[in-house]
Amino acid sequence: MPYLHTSLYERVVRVTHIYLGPAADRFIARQVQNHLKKAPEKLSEGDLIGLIDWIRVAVSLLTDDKEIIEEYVQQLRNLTSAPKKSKRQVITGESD
Amino acid sequence: MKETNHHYIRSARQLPRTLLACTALALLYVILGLALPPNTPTVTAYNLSITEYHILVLLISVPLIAVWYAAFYGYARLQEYVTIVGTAPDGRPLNKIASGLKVLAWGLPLSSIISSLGGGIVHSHANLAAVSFIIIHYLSLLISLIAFAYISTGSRGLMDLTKTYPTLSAVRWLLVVLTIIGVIFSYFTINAAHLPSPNPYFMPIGWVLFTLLVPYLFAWFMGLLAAYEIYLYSRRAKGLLYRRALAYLALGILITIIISIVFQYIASDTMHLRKITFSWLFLGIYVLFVVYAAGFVLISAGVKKLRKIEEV
Repeated sequence: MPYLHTSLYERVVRVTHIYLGPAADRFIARQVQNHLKKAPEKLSEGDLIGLIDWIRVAVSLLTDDKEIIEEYVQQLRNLTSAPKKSKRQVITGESD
Repeated sequence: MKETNHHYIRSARQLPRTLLACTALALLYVILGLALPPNTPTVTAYNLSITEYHILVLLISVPLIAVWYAAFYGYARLQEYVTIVGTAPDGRPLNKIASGLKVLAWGLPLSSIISSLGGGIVHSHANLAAVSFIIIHYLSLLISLIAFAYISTGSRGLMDLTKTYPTLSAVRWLLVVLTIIGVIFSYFTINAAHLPSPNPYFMPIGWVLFTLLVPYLFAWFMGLLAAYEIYLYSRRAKGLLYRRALAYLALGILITIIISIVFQYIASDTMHLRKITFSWLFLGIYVLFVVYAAGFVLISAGVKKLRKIEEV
Protein backbone atom coordinates (compact mmCIF):
# COMPACT_ATOMS: atom_id res chain seq x y z
CA MET A 1 0.00 0.00 0.00
CA PRO A 2 1.51 3.42 -0.87
CA TYR A 3 2.81 5.42 2.05
CA LEU A 4 1.19 8.84 1.86
CA HIS A 5 2.80 12.03 3.06
CA THR A 6 1.62 12.53 6.59
CA SER A 7 1.96 15.43 8.98
CA LEU A 8 4.34 15.27 11.92
CA TYR A 9 1.34 15.14 14.26
CA GLU A 10 -0.05 12.08 12.48
CA ARG A 11 3.35 10.36 12.64
CA VAL A 12 3.60 11.08 16.37
CA VAL A 13 0.09 9.68 16.88
CA ARG A 14 0.98 6.58 14.87
CA VAL A 15 3.96 5.89 17.14
CA THR A 16 1.86 6.60 20.23
CA HIS A 17 -0.81 4.21 18.98
CA ILE A 18 1.60 1.34 19.69
CA TYR A 19 1.45 2.20 23.39
CA LEU A 20 -1.87 3.91 23.99
CA GLY A 21 -4.08 2.38 21.32
CA PRO A 22 -7.37 4.22 20.76
CA ALA A 23 -6.34 6.87 23.31
CA ALA A 24 -3.28 7.93 21.26
CA ASP A 25 -4.92 10.73 19.29
CA ARG A 26 -6.54 12.29 22.38
CA PHE A 27 -3.32 11.97 24.37
CA ILE A 28 -1.07 13.71 21.84
CA ALA A 29 -3.66 16.40 21.09
CA ARG A 30 -3.88 17.14 24.80
CA GLN A 31 -0.09 17.36 25.20
CA VAL A 32 0.23 19.71 22.24
CA GLN A 33 -2.67 21.93 23.28
CA ASN A 34 -1.88 22.04 27.00
CA HIS A 35 1.91 22.30 26.94
CA LEU A 36 2.79 23.78 23.55
CA LYS A 37 -0.32 25.98 23.41
CA LYS A 38 -0.99 25.31 19.76
CA ALA A 39 -3.36 23.33 17.57
CA PRO A 40 -2.20 19.70 17.15
CA GLU A 41 -2.04 19.86 13.36
CA LYS A 42 0.37 22.81 13.63
CA LEU A 43 3.00 20.68 15.38
CA SER A 44 6.41 21.35 13.82
CA GLU A 45 9.84 19.71 13.96
CA GLY A 46 11.02 22.44 16.30
CA ASP A 47 8.29 21.56 18.80
CA LEU A 48 9.07 17.86 18.82
CA ILE A 49 11.90 17.88 21.40
CA GLY A 50 9.80 19.82 23.88
CA LEU A 51 6.80 17.60 23.20
CA ILE A 52 8.88 14.46 23.78
CA ASP A 53 9.90 15.78 27.22
CA TRP A 54 6.26 16.37 28.15
CA ILE A 55 5.27 12.97 26.82
CA ARG A 56 8.00 11.31 28.88
CA VAL A 57 6.64 12.97 32.04
CA ALA A 58 3.05 12.00 31.22
CA VAL A 59 3.85 8.37 30.37
CA SER A 60 5.95 8.08 33.55
CA LEU A 61 2.72 8.71 35.43
CA LEU A 62 1.06 5.82 33.59
CA THR A 63 3.73 3.18 34.02
CA ASP A 64 6.85 2.43 36.05
CA ASP A 65 8.25 0.32 33.22
CA LYS A 66 11.31 2.37 32.23
CA GLU A 67 12.04 0.10 29.28
CA ILE A 68 8.73 0.92 27.64
CA ILE A 69 9.11 4.62 28.36
CA GLU A 70 12.57 4.74 26.81
CA GLU A 71 11.48 2.68 23.82
CA TYR A 72 8.55 5.01 23.20
CA VAL A 73 10.67 8.14 23.60
CA GLN A 74 13.34 6.76 21.26
CA GLN A 75 10.72 6.01 18.62
CA LEU A 76 9.53 9.60 18.88
CA ARG A 77 13.11 10.88 18.63
CA ASN A 78 13.57 8.81 15.48
CA LEU A 79 10.87 10.92 13.87
CA THR A 80 13.21 13.92 13.92
CA SER A 81 15.92 12.12 11.94
CA ALA A 82 13.72 9.90 9.71
CA PRO A 83 13.50 11.25 6.17
CA LYS A 84 10.00 12.14 5.09
CA LYS A 85 8.97 10.71 1.77
CA SER A 86 7.33 13.18 -0.52
CA LYS A 87 4.28 12.15 -2.47
CA ARG A 88 6.32 12.03 -5.69
CA GLN A 89 8.86 9.69 -4.10
CA VAL A 90 6.13 7.43 -2.83
CA ILE A 91 4.44 7.10 -6.23
CA THR A 92 7.63 6.70 -8.26
CA GLY A 93 9.50 4.65 -5.63
CA GLU A 94 12.49 6.97 -5.72
CA SER A 95 14.64 7.56 -2.62
CA ASP A 96 17.03 10.31 -1.54
CA MET B 1 -10.43 22.31 26.09
CA LYS B 2 -13.82 23.81 27.09
CA GLU B 3 -15.53 20.64 25.86
CA THR B 4 -13.18 18.48 27.97
CA ASN B 5 -13.91 20.56 31.07
CA HIS B 6 -17.63 20.28 30.38
CA HIS B 7 -17.28 16.50 30.14
CA TYR B 8 -15.40 16.39 33.43
CA ILE B 9 -18.00 18.55 35.20
CA ARG B 10 -20.84 16.45 33.82
CA SER B 11 -19.10 13.22 34.79
CA ALA B 12 -18.32 14.49 38.30
CA ARG B 13 -22.06 14.92 39.00
CA GLN B 14 -23.00 11.38 38.01
CA LEU B 15 -21.38 9.40 40.81
CA PRO B 16 -22.93 11.16 43.83
CA ARG B 17 -26.41 11.02 42.23
CA THR B 18 -25.98 7.35 41.46
CA LEU B 19 -24.87 6.46 44.97
CA LEU B 20 -27.72 8.51 46.42
CA ALA B 21 -30.18 6.49 44.34
CA CYS B 22 -28.57 3.29 45.61
CA THR B 23 -28.87 4.49 49.21
CA ALA B 24 -32.57 5.27 48.74
CA LEU B 25 -33.20 1.81 47.28
CA ALA B 26 -31.21 0.16 50.08
CA LEU B 27 -33.25 1.95 52.75
CA LEU B 28 -36.49 0.99 51.05
CA TYR B 29 -35.40 -2.64 50.86
CA VAL B 30 -34.42 -2.84 54.53
CA ILE B 31 -37.64 -1.15 55.65
CA LEU B 32 -39.72 -3.51 53.51
CA GLY B 33 -37.79 -6.53 54.76
CA LEU B 34 -38.48 -5.63 58.38
CA ALA B 35 -41.98 -4.24 57.99
CA LEU B 36 -43.57 -6.76 55.66
CA PRO B 37 -44.81 -10.17 56.81
CA PRO B 38 -42.20 -12.92 56.38
CA ASN B 39 -41.86 -14.97 53.21
CA THR B 40 -43.89 -18.10 54.03
CA PRO B 41 -42.01 -20.69 51.88
CA THR B 42 -38.67 -19.58 53.40
CA VAL B 43 -40.00 -19.65 56.97
CA THR B 44 -41.52 -23.09 56.40
CA ALA B 45 -38.51 -24.55 54.59
CA TYR B 46 -36.03 -23.53 57.31
CA ASN B 47 -38.38 -23.66 60.31
CA LEU B 48 -37.75 -20.05 61.35
CA SER B 49 -39.51 -17.86 63.86
CA ILE B 50 -40.54 -14.32 62.88
CA THR B 51 -37.57 -12.86 64.77
CA GLU B 52 -35.16 -15.35 63.20
CA TYR B 53 -36.54 -14.49 59.79
CA HIS B 54 -35.97 -10.76 60.34
CA ILE B 55 -32.42 -11.41 61.58
CA LEU B 56 -31.85 -13.48 58.46
CA VAL B 57 -33.18 -10.64 56.32
CA LEU B 58 -30.70 -8.24 57.92
CA LEU B 59 -27.82 -10.71 57.62
CA ILE B 60 -28.49 -11.15 53.92
CA SER B 61 -29.27 -7.47 53.37
CA VAL B 62 -25.85 -6.26 54.49
CA PRO B 63 -23.74 -8.08 51.88
CA LEU B 64 -26.51 -7.71 49.30
CA ILE B 65 -26.55 -3.93 49.71
CA ALA B 66 -22.74 -3.91 49.60
CA VAL B 67 -22.99 -5.63 46.20
CA TRP B 68 -25.51 -3.00 45.06
CA TYR B 69 -23.12 -0.19 46.03
CA ALA B 70 -20.23 -1.91 44.25
CA ALA B 71 -22.43 -2.40 41.16
CA PHE B 72 -23.71 1.20 41.13
CA TYR B 73 -20.20 2.55 41.72
CA GLY B 74 -18.76 0.34 38.98
CA TYR B 75 -21.23 1.27 36.26
CA ALA B 76 -21.21 4.95 37.26
CA ARG B 77 -17.42 5.06 36.98
CA LEU B 78 -17.56 3.46 33.54
CA GLN B 79 -20.20 5.96 32.44
CA GLU B 80 -18.00 8.80 33.69
CA TYR B 81 -15.11 7.47 31.62
CA VAL B 82 -17.34 7.18 28.55
CA THR B 83 -18.43 10.80 29.05
CA ILE B 84 -14.79 11.90 29.09
CA VAL B 85 -13.87 9.85 26.02
CA GLY B 86 -16.80 11.38 24.13
CA THR B 87 -17.24 10.41 20.48
CA ALA B 88 -13.98 8.43 20.19
CA PRO B 89 -14.23 5.04 18.38
CA ASP B 90 -14.04 3.05 21.63
CA GLY B 91 -16.50 5.41 23.36
CA ARG B 92 -19.70 4.20 21.76
CA PRO B 93 -19.21 0.45 22.40
CA LEU B 94 -18.08 1.14 25.97
CA ASN B 95 -21.19 3.29 26.44
CA LYS B 96 -23.36 0.33 25.41
CA ILE B 97 -21.53 -1.90 27.86
CA ALA B 98 -21.94 0.72 30.60
CA SER B 99 -25.69 0.84 29.84
CA GLY B 100 -25.89 -2.95 30.14
CA LEU B 101 -24.06 -2.88 33.47
CA LYS B 102 -26.42 -0.11 34.60
CA VAL B 103 -29.41 -2.35 33.86
CA LEU B 104 -27.77 -5.22 35.79
CA ALA B 105 -26.96 -2.89 38.70
CA TRP B 106 -30.45 -1.37 38.90
CA GLY B 107 -31.97 -4.79 38.38
CA LEU B 108 -30.43 -6.01 41.64
CA PRO B 109 -32.32 -3.75 44.08
CA LEU B 110 -35.45 -3.52 41.93
CA SER B 111 -35.92 -7.29 41.72
CA SER B 112 -35.16 -7.65 45.46
CA ILE B 113 -37.66 -4.92 46.38
CA ILE B 114 -40.37 -6.29 44.11
CA SER B 115 -39.69 -9.78 45.44
CA SER B 116 -40.11 -8.48 49.01
CA LEU B 117 -43.34 -6.72 48.07
CA GLY B 118 -44.56 -9.84 46.32
CA GLY B 119 -43.82 -11.97 49.37
CA GLY B 120 -45.68 -9.52 51.59
CA ILE B 121 -48.73 -9.42 49.32
CA VAL B 122 -48.86 -13.21 49.05
CA HIS B 123 -48.75 -13.51 52.83
CA SER B 124 -52.04 -11.61 53.05
CA HIS B 125 -53.54 -12.76 49.76
CA ALA B 126 -52.45 -16.30 49.03
CA ASN B 127 -54.49 -16.33 45.82
CA LEU B 128 -52.05 -13.79 44.37
CA ALA B 129 -49.07 -16.18 44.68
CA ALA B 130 -49.19 -17.06 40.99
CA VAL B 131 -49.31 -13.43 39.85
CA SER B 132 -46.49 -12.49 42.21
CA PHE B 133 -44.27 -15.36 41.05
CA ILE B 134 -44.89 -14.65 37.39
CA ILE B 135 -44.17 -10.93 37.73
CA ILE B 136 -40.93 -11.54 39.64
CA HIS B 137 -39.63 -14.13 37.20
CA TYR B 138 -40.50 -12.24 34.04
CA LEU B 139 -39.00 -9.07 35.52
CA SER B 140 -35.75 -10.92 36.18
CA LEU B 141 -35.83 -12.29 32.63
CA LEU B 142 -36.46 -8.83 31.16
CA ILE B 143 -33.54 -7.37 33.09
CA SER B 144 -31.29 -10.15 31.84
CA LEU B 145 -32.38 -9.76 28.20
CA ILE B 146 -31.99 -5.96 28.15
CA ALA B 147 -28.67 -5.94 30.02
CA PHE B 148 -27.04 -8.64 27.92
CA ALA B 149 -28.40 -7.17 24.69
CA TYR B 150 -26.70 -3.87 25.49
CA ILE B 151 -23.46 -5.54 26.61
CA SER B 152 -23.31 -7.81 23.56
CA THR B 153 -23.93 -4.84 21.23
CA GLY B 154 -21.06 -3.05 22.96
CA SER B 155 -18.75 -6.05 22.80
CA ARG B 156 -19.49 -6.46 19.07
CA GLY B 157 -18.60 -2.80 18.62
CA LEU B 158 -15.25 -3.45 20.31
CA MET B 159 -14.67 -6.41 18.00
CA ASP B 160 -15.32 -4.14 15.01
CA LEU B 161 -12.56 -1.82 16.26
CA THR B 162 -9.95 -4.54 16.23
CA LYS B 163 -11.44 -6.34 13.22
CA THR B 164 -11.06 -9.67 15.01
CA TYR B 165 -13.92 -11.93 15.94
CA PRO B 166 -14.38 -15.14 17.94
CA THR B 167 -13.20 -18.17 16.01
CA LEU B 168 -15.61 -20.88 14.88
CA SER B 169 -14.25 -23.31 17.48
CA ALA B 170 -14.72 -20.74 20.26
CA VAL B 171 -18.36 -20.19 19.28
CA ARG B 172 -18.90 -23.95 19.12
CA TRP B 173 -17.46 -24.38 22.62
CA LEU B 174 -19.77 -21.64 23.88
CA LEU B 175 -22.69 -23.47 22.33
CA VAL B 176 -21.59 -26.69 24.04
CA VAL B 177 -21.49 -24.91 27.42
CA LEU B 178 -24.87 -23.34 26.78
CA THR B 179 -26.38 -26.66 25.67
CA ILE B 180 -25.21 -28.31 28.89
CA ILE B 181 -26.64 -25.45 30.99
CA GLY B 182 -29.87 -25.63 28.98
CA VAL B 183 -30.27 -29.38 29.37
CA ILE B 184 -29.67 -29.25 33.15
CA PHE B 185 -32.01 -26.27 33.50
CA SER B 186 -34.71 -28.04 31.45
CA TYR B 187 -34.34 -31.22 33.49
CA PHE B 188 -34.83 -29.44 36.81
CA THR B 189 -37.64 -27.29 35.43
CA ILE B 190 -39.61 -30.21 34.01
CA ASN B 191 -39.07 -32.26 37.18
CA ALA B 192 -40.27 -29.39 39.37
CA ALA B 193 -43.36 -28.89 37.22
CA HIS B 194 -44.35 -32.52 37.76
CA LEU B 195 -44.10 -32.45 41.57
CA PRO B 196 -47.24 -33.56 43.40
CA SER B 197 -47.55 -30.18 45.19
CA PRO B 198 -48.96 -27.24 43.19
CA ASN B 199 -46.88 -26.44 40.11
CA PRO B 200 -44.16 -24.09 41.46
CA TYR B 201 -44.22 -22.12 38.21
CA PHE B 202 -48.02 -21.63 38.25
CA MET B 203 -47.94 -22.05 34.47
CA PRO B 204 -48.16 -24.98 32.03
CA ILE B 205 -44.74 -26.54 31.48
CA GLY B 206 -44.78 -25.73 27.77
CA TRP B 207 -45.32 -22.06 28.58
CA VAL B 208 -42.46 -22.14 31.11
CA LEU B 209 -40.10 -23.75 28.61
CA PHE B 210 -40.83 -21.39 25.74
CA THR B 211 -41.37 -18.10 27.57
CA LEU B 212 -38.85 -18.45 30.40
CA LEU B 213 -36.27 -21.13 29.63
CA VAL B 214 -35.67 -20.32 25.97
CA PRO B 215 -35.36 -16.53 26.50
CA TYR B 216 -33.06 -17.10 29.48
CA LEU B 217 -30.80 -19.33 27.38
CA PHE B 218 -30.80 -16.70 24.64
CA ALA B 219 -29.87 -13.99 27.15
CA TRP B 220 -27.14 -16.15 28.67
CA PHE B 221 -25.69 -16.92 25.23
CA MET B 222 -25.54 -13.19 24.50
CA GLY B 223 -23.88 -12.67 27.89
CA LEU B 224 -21.31 -15.45 27.49
CA LEU B 225 -20.45 -14.42 23.93
CA ALA B 226 -20.08 -10.81 25.07
CA ALA B 227 -17.82 -11.90 27.93
CA TYR B 228 -15.61 -13.77 25.46
CA GLU B 229 -15.54 -10.88 23.00
CA ILE B 230 -14.57 -8.43 25.73
CA TYR B 231 -11.80 -10.81 26.80
CA LEU B 232 -10.62 -11.01 23.16
CA TYR B 233 -10.66 -7.23 22.83
CA SER B 234 -8.59 -6.84 25.99
CA ARG B 235 -5.98 -9.15 24.44
CA ARG B 236 -5.99 -7.72 20.93
CA ALA B 237 -6.60 -4.00 21.35
CA LYS B 238 -3.77 -1.85 20.11
CA GLY B 239 -1.65 -0.07 22.68
CA LEU B 240 0.53 -1.82 25.22
CA LEU B 241 -0.34 0.51 28.12
CA TYR B 242 -3.98 0.74 27.02
CA ARG B 243 -4.26 -3.07 27.08
CA ARG B 244 -2.80 -3.23 30.57
CA ALA B 245 -5.37 -0.71 31.83
CA LEU B 246 -8.12 -2.52 29.94
CA ALA B 247 -7.28 -5.92 31.50
CA TYR B 248 -8.90 -5.03 34.85
CA LEU B 249 -12.02 -3.66 33.17
CA ALA B 250 -12.35 -6.72 30.95
CA LEU B 251 -11.87 -9.15 33.85
CA GLY B 252 -14.40 -7.25 35.94
CA ILE B 253 -17.02 -7.36 33.17
CA LEU B 254 -16.31 -11.07 32.62
CA ILE B 255 -16.88 -11.89 36.30
CA THR B 256 -19.98 -9.70 36.44
CA ILE B 257 -21.60 -11.40 33.45
CA ILE B 258 -20.84 -14.93 34.65
CA ILE B 259 -21.98 -14.38 38.25
CA SER B 260 -25.07 -12.58 37.01
CA ILE B 261 -25.94 -15.68 34.97
CA VAL B 262 -25.33 -17.88 38.04
CA PHE B 263 -27.65 -15.67 40.15
CA GLN B 264 -30.35 -15.76 37.48
CA TYR B 265 -30.07 -19.54 37.25
CA ILE B 266 -30.33 -19.92 41.02
CA ALA B 267 -33.24 -17.47 41.31
CA SER B 268 -35.24 -19.38 38.72
CA ASP B 269 -34.62 -22.74 40.36
CA THR B 270 -35.34 -22.02 44.05
CA MET B 271 -37.08 -25.39 44.43
CA HIS B 272 -33.72 -27.18 44.52
CA LEU B 273 -32.12 -24.51 46.72
CA ARG B 274 -34.48 -25.46 49.54
CA LYS B 275 -32.96 -28.95 49.57
CA ILE B 276 -29.53 -27.54 50.49
CA THR B 277 -28.78 -27.16 54.19
CA PHE B 278 -29.14 -23.64 55.48
CA SER B 279 -25.49 -23.09 56.43
CA TRP B 280 -24.18 -24.22 53.03
CA LEU B 281 -26.75 -22.11 51.26
CA PHE B 282 -25.78 -19.07 53.32
CA LEU B 283 -22.08 -19.65 52.64
CA GLY B 284 -22.70 -20.14 48.95
CA ILE B 285 -24.72 -16.95 48.69
CA TYR B 286 -22.05 -14.98 50.56
CA VAL B 287 -19.31 -16.32 48.27
CA LEU B 288 -21.33 -15.35 45.21
CA PHE B 289 -21.98 -11.88 46.65
CA VAL B 290 -18.26 -11.35 47.28
CA VAL B 291 -17.28 -12.49 43.79
CA TYR B 292 -20.04 -10.38 42.19
CA ALA B 293 -18.93 -7.31 44.12
CA ALA B 294 -15.32 -8.06 43.18
CA GLY B 295 -16.33 -7.96 39.51
CA PHE B 296 -17.69 -4.45 39.84
CA VAL B 297 -14.69 -3.38 41.95
CA LEU B 298 -12.39 -4.61 39.15
CA ILE B 299 -14.45 -2.59 36.68
CA SER B 300 -13.88 0.52 38.81
CA ALA B 301 -10.15 -0.25 39.08
CA GLY B 302 -9.88 -0.71 35.32
CA VAL B 303 -11.75 2.50 34.64
CA LYS B 304 -9.43 4.35 37.02
CA LYS B 305 -6.42 3.20 34.99
CA LEU B 306 -8.07 4.07 31.67
CA ARG B 307 -9.14 7.41 33.01
CA LYS B 308 -5.57 8.21 34.01
CA ILE B 309 -4.55 7.92 30.34
CA GLU B 310 -7.14 10.60 29.56
CA GLU B 311 -6.00 12.90 32.34
CA VAL B 312 -2.19 13.03 32.16
